[in-house]
Amino acid sequence: MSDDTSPGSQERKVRALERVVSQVLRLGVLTSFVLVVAGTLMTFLQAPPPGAEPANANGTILTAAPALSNLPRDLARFSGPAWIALGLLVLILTPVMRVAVSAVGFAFQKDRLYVGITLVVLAVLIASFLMG
Amino acid sequence: MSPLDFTLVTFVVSVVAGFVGSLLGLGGGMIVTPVLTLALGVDIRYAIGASIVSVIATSSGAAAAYVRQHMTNMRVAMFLEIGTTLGAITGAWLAGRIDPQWLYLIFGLVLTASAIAMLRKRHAAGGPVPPDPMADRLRMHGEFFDESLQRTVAYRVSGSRPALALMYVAGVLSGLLGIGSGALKVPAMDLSMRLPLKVSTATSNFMIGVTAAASAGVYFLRGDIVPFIAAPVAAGVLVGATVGSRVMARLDNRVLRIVFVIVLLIVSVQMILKGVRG
Repeated sequence: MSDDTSPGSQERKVRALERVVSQVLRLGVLTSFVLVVAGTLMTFLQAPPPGAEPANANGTILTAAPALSNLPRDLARFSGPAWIALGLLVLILTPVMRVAVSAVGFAFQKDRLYVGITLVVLAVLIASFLMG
Repeated sequence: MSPLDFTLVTFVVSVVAGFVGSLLGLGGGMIVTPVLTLALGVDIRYAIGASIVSVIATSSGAAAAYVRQHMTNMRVAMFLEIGTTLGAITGAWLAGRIDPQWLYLIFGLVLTASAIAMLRKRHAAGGPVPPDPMADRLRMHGEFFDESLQRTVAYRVSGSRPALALMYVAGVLSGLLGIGSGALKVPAMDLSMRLPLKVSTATSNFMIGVTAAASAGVYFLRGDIVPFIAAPVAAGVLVGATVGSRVMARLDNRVLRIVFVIVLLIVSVQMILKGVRG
């Protein structure tokens, strides 16, 4: 048996992978939290940019969610809602990243079957962003 | 209510929802959506969009800890996620097309069922584990280190097909209502797949985030995740759930549990009434 496939080496790779997955999750949540809080502070500290008026008296929302295509432009203008949206996007992409990392992990273990299964899940996740 | 007041009130409500949700093992989404809609008058679609984001936050935070404890069965999780993500997309798609009245009604019914399920004690199925050729072929059987026994426990997995079907249903509910639907995922793994309880909990938690991401993608592009509502909800539920999981273990006080069940039942009746009357 070559060193690559020995149980000990596999075990180490799995453990290393679990650490990476755990760190991806932690980092994603933390980054998103910071962006969301920063975006909220920006929104209240600045005069609201056009089209970003918040909730009215009944909590009904006057502002629409910022369009994804305008996001880079709005971020450059330091629009609060755009920075919140970026934070939320990071949060939504965190589990997607962790699925992608798992696919790499199964590839390390030369587990073709589960690389396939993981890629199916990844494809469904990517499809979800195309069908909104 | 001024925009600042709305943000502050929503944040505080979400902290409480995340805290109580983690104590009850229900998840913040089940609690925050009724408050946002019934008490603050937020459109239910925006409440659900905000709630689904908070589900990702709490699940990812908790999953980071579980993975390190090696409780999660990654193969089972990945296999079942095919069902949950397809279901989540279906649910999110459906939520954008049906009358919001239906969302109130279905939410109320699911909340009723979850509240009643809280009264039942969680138990593992007894007897020998039935053979499952699919679980053999997909090499799902696993092992975990049991803290209380101080040794590694090996287990066999069964019922992978019915579990996959149940996961599709759990995914639909998650995408439709913006909830984690762990209340459906965990029993499916306990009873159908015969996973050890600790493994089910960790694996379910791991899957909830991925399921929620699938429907959140749909909600985000549809414009139903409104930064002004989602920001205080996501941040609040995350803070509440983190504090809840640190402060104490899951609530096992029977009297308190019954009190919460009664409160949840009253809330579900109001959601159902709103769905029926409009």
